[in-house]
Amino acid sequence: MTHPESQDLLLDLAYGELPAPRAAELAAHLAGCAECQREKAALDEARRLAAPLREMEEPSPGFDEPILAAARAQAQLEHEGNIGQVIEVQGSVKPLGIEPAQVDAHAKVAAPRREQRRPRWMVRVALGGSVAAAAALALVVSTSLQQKHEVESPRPAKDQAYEIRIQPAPLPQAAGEGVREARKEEAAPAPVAAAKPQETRQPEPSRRAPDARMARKAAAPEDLAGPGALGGLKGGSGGDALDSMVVREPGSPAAHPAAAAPPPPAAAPTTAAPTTAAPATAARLPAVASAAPPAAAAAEKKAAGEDAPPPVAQSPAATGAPAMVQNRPQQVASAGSSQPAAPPAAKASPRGAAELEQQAQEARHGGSYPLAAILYREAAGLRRAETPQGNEGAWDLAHAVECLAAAGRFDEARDLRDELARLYPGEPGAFAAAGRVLREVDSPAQLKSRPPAKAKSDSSSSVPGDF
Amino acid sequence: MTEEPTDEELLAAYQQGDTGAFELLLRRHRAPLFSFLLRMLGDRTRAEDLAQETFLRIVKGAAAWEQRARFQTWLYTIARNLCVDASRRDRFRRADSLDQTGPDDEPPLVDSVAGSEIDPARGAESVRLRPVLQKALLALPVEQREVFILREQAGLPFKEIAETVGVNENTVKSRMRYALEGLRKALLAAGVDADTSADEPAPGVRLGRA
Repeated sequence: MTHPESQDLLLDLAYGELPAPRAAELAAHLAGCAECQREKAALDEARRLAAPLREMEEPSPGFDEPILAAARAQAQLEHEGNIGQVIEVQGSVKPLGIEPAQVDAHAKVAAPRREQRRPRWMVRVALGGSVAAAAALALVVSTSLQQKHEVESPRPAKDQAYEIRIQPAPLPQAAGEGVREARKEEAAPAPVAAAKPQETRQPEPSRRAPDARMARKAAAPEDLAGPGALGGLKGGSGGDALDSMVVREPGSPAAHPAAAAPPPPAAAPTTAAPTTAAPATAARLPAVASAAPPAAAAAEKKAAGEDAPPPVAQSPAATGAPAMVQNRPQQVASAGSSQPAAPPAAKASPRGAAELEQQAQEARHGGSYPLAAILYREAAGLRRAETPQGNEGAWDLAHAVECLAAAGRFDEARDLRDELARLYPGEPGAFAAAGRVLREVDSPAQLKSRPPAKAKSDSSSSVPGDF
Repeated sequence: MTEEPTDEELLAAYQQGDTGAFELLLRRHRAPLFSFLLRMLGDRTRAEDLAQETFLRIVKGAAAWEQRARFQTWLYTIARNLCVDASRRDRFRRADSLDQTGPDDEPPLVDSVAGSEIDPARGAESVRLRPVLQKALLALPVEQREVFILREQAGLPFKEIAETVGVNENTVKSRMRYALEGLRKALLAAGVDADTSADEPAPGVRLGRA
């Protein structure tokens, strides 16, 4: 064995990766080579020094549970196509005024296998794609309905944890009529969760019953990618669970904005309509109903106990168009994380931009970057609505870009940065700041060497787990 | 050991709906994976979060898994990518204010290890040494660190590490050498005594299966 060969193999020897014959050859060389001996000694010494690092550590006791629960739910989904169990989800997201939400996931839903970005992991993994979508919607629905009753009451502590219970459908058939009936009876609880998705894409007020099966279809990729609440599924892309948790919720229009929400009526869970103040939605509900499949909306109407108020013409839900509402920077960035836009009307909102900014800052300092991004964007929307000529919104947007980047949602961050440039051409400072946080991502000089077969990118959208 | 089902067999069983098989798989890999992440990140909470996230991705991806790679490689590839994501986010977080000129992504200086209080006199058992070692480890460039931990602690052979990290095997080995040399120097400078650390370098232990 030559000396260079030997040098190459010392490491294999140290780690027992050398087949016996080669090891013997190497040993023979070692015996007569001082340099190799020194090198081997150094390797061994390093390993001895670092030995304590080899010790195994155990995660905390509760570690397995959510994983096993997810594993069971997933298996059940894939093998039986339904969720036959109650899944409880607990989160510690700061719900900004959302009280413990009840989610009723009805439909039997088969998860469409599709590229999934980081949804809220617990719910999502436990439920699979479309069910999770439905759950997200239901969350929106129910929380918004709940808001109706609580508008007057003080908002709960910001960091109050909430709990979501997902129960199997009491009516397995979960078809239009049945659901509607059931809804009527149960008044407040979330309207047919699963029925919502297609509303975003069904401009014709057809007779289609919004039953579970349809929901399943409607939850097909394009729809998921569509505007509105479902976008929340795609919106998240960051890394850790918390991010996704936070992400998911904001994804749904009505959910967060308890924050952005002006007070009045029940917030309606209009999937795609991140429009008029979420709370104003009870009003909106019927409007949506008219534009969307009637059945589910009707059910909601019943549930909300509202009568038809003014139609929301510009609601994306009505047009099916993604949320490219002008002058709504926060909408433009991505349908994938559509937020409740701060409508001009929100001027009347008790929650001023300054307050939002304050909360955003708190969220940011608390590490809730996705939430912070949303709040900043809302604040920017308000600022812009209040003083269209002003430039105060620019820095809010810049902060939002920063927070999105911090959450690992780089695509959205870029989009928003571009939006910032469009809206505030006179604010190069904010733009530069926003660009700064993305510079590193933009430059290809990243530590990311990709394995050939799998693991294409370390952006969470294509982690091997998602193949 | 020979009678134990392999990881791949367990995962295949889980694909068929056998959640017990998954549970076994989880039990087999949870501590090693968690330890890997802990060493990578130096933070228990985050390591635990990412470890959970990794397993959840396994759950999610299980149905589509085709045995094209070893389970262990897959597992660590996911975990490693999550780590990379996380540290990238961290760099942004550190640049908390937009006023700062930019994220500082320089790892802490190795020198800083030297200052820590180690009792150079004896009895510094591994538990007490661990923070020092962890610090030295965190001071390594991440490319070296991951290779080191994957080999030294997770017990992946160089070939699998190459697959996991996405570089060729020679690169892996060269990073490993740098890592070992860097650690050795840092630890000696910090006053860590090889004799207090361990008696024998154990050969990389292969986890979980024969």
